Amino acid sequence: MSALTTPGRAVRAIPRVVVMALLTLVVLGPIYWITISSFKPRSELISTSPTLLPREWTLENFERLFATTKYPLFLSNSFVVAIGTTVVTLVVSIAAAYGLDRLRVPGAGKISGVVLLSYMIPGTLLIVPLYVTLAQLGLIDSHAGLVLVNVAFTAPFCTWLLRGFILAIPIEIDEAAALDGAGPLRTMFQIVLPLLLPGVATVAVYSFVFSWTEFVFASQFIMSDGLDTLPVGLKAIIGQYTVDWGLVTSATLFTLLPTVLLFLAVGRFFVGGLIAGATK
Amino acid sequence: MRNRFIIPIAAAVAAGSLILAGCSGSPSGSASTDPGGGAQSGGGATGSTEPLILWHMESVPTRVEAWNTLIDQYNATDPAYPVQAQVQEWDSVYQGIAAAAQAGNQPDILFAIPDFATYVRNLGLGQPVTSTVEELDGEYDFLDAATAAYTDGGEVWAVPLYGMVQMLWYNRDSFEAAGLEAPTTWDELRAAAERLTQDGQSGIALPAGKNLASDQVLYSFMVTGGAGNWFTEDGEVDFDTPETVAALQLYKDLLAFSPKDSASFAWGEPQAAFNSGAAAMAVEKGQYLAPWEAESGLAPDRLGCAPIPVKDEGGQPGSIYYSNGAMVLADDQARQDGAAAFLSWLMLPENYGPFLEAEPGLFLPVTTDEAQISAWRSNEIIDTYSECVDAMLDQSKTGALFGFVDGQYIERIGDISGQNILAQAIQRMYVSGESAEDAAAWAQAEMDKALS
Amino acid sequence: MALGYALVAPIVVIMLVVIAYPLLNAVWTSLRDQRLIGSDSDFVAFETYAKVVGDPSFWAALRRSGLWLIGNMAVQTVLAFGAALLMQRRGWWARSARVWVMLPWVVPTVAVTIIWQWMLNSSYGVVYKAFEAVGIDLGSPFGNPVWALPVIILVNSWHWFPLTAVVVYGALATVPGEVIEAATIDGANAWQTFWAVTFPLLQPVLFAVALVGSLWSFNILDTIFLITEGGPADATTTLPVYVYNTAFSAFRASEAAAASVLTVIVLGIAALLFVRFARPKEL
Repeated sequence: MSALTTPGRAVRAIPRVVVMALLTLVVLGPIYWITISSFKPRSELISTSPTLLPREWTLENFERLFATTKYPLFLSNSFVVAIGTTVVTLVVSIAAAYGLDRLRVPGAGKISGVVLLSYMIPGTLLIVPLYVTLAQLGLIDSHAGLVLVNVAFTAPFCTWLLRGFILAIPIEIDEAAALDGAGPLRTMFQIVLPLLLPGVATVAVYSFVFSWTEFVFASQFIMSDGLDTLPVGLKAIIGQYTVDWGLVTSATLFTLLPTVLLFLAVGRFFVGGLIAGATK
Repeated sequence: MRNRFIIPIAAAVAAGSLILAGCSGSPSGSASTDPGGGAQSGGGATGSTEPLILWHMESVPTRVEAWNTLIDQYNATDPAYPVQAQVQEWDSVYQGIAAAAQAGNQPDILFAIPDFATYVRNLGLGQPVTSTVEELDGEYDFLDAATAAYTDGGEVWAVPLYGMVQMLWYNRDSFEAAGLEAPTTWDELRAAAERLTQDGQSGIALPAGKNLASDQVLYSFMVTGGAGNWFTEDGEVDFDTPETVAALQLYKDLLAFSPKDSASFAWGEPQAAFNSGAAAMAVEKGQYLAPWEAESGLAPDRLGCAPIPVKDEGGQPGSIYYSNGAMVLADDQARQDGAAAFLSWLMLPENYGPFLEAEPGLFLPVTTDEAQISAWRSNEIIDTYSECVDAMLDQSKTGALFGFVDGQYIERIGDISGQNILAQAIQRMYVSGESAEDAAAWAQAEMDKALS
Repeated sequence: MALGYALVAPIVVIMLVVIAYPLLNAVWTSLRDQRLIGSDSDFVAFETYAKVVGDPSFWAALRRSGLWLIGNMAVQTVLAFGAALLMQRRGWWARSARVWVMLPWVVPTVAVTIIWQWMLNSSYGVVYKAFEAVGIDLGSPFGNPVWALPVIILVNSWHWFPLTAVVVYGALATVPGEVIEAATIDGANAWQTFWAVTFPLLQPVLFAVALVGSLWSFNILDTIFLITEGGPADATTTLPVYVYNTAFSAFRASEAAAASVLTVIVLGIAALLFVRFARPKEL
């Protein structure tokens, strides 16, 4: 960069700073708002002059949330389904990517087409036929059924992503392992998989978030409220005819809190993996 | 050498899916048994002690809690068929019950509203409960409006459990400050709404979103405008009438005094506007009682309630009235008896009160028996707002629901109410600026199409 | 070889069960005249398709879907690029942004719609009141037939742009530093450098993102439905909303199935055309 006088640089930085500020406000503002709203009493929540900081801090919304709803249960249900989805997606897509590329199963080129096809299907189309199928398999009202459905939507994209990673691992490595006497599976687990770790991290986070936020199938295929996931639990609070806004804001906060925390913890791995995968 | 690994892989995948399958059904709920897959409940299962599955759509946590407590009490009496509730959402239950009908695993008991009941019956589900209803009627004396909505072909298809009726709610402080009395006619209502719309306050908060809330409020005005029955003797749609146009016009006029974004309102927004003082009036059911004090910060006696204003000429007192009832969907006779036993137990005076208290004010008794109602009346909210409660009970007597007026039973009413045609007519006037006449004509055409 | 097939089998089976079977079921239903789902129906060949194609609301929905698609792609691209370009700088803002910019994506859609409706309500919405304070009257953001769809596009873009932002950011990271430097030395300013050097190098990634992102955006239902259910006066009834309403509010299963099949065909054709004509040379 050529040297410029300081005031000139400062002026040139203004549009950039403005955009940064706007982005920060737009992205973090709503999150801040819902967080702060959960600490307001019901009357202040609907006040016609919204307050940036609560006039009256209260924990009553959270008390009501935990006393009258099964939120901790919904939280654990969401975890079960999300982890299940992640694990199964990983297994299925790693296997498929390896099979397609390394083991030369025909159809490798078509995988992109399959991914695209899975995105072209309008979700509403699937609801009733899928319900009947799942019922026949005895998977209605079970977390396993939800995992199956979620995996069908995450696996194609993840397979495509992982295939990109695998393509980047030179076949010579496999050949060297074969020379050392390793069979295809051992090669897969001991040699290739460790090199795939960034991709694995990406797949894991993507599947987890997809499952965590999934609503339509979770509400249709789960009947017992004891098995509901967080988004369904949140929607149920709104109910019919009346809305307890304090309950809604605190429940919303708790619905997004786990993923936000998760993301703050492992987010950079996801970003790293997505970068590496998409550029292949 | 390659084939050596197939078996271990298959075993791993199988083990993995077994573990996942085991994960389902493990969290506790109020259920005593594992709900599992579709093979068990409802359908043609012969009288084992599988619990009766009950679906209801009152998903608000306090209501779920209250009813689960009652159900636990019932199950503690060791009945032949214990009951297990599964809460559904209105948005998904239409396809949920359709899909369940196809798969043969419908619930044993289904709480419904009249038009939903016609939809369910059209799916081929539903058993007559006439004998149960007659028995309960003899004991507790059902309101006519409550049973009428479920009576078709001489049989009754659901046991009425709780009713809902709409009133005009108004803020006494605003009214007193403006020197106004509660309006009793349409003209007075228009005048009050206009008078009370000033500096950031709206005279009234009405829903105009594409949803059931808008349908319901408009219908209340149609009833008081003499347009409550829009079907002919032969079940044909006769919506486009001068009375209907007048009701639509009233709604359009009132929307001018409602908050600017009323076109996205359902139930929550008008109530929030009313409770915060942003609006001085609202038309809704009894759910306005319970949160009033906490949300408005005003005393209970500041909440005013009045019957829905009546059209100045040719009107009649009335309101929309929802009789919520329980349908029995089990095929098996023994399970049907088990369901009837549970419903009768619910109606016992010591249980009926707690049942209605799941949402005090919103859930009203469908009977007139004193003993049965007295427990309910001692509930704190009901007692505090007893005047308004009396007003609602009174209004219930002139309540009606479209499709079920005057002994009708329009079995395809669900096809109309599902599409929110009334709400869409409102939107055409409010959002697209159509005249009331055009909106009525459009709605007529849509309803004809829906029933064709 | 058998091992290879065994490895690919799970994903194939899952997709057959969850996607292929319902799709075939929909095609089968679309050739009939089914009203209520599961009710009796007769085979009517293409009569249902004729009905749908002759329905002006189907075409209106398709048109709105086109607007929805273009709007989303435009807004999300701008947001994603803006974020990505800023995220690759040095400094504390960029470092922190790389983490929190993903937040809107991890918020469940239900929560997103609740939060935005809450903030844009005319009585108690903070965003609404903030605009009011500077003299801008937002009117009825979700209730105005002209503005409802654009506003929902903005809400939806807020929810989904982070994914694209991260991909673009990653792609930017692959642009070799020397190339940028060479351009700067030649006297190009930031803007010129971007268009002449960076952008062409990003094309493969952008192509993939545009294709997948468009398909994904087109089929979005929940964001719209949870806010307006397709109103006001059908102003936000895109094709997925039309299909949903036809199936579950109007109880016309075969018409909905036909509309869905037509959707898949339209998207398939559009995707093919896009791949044919917009594909960067390197791919």
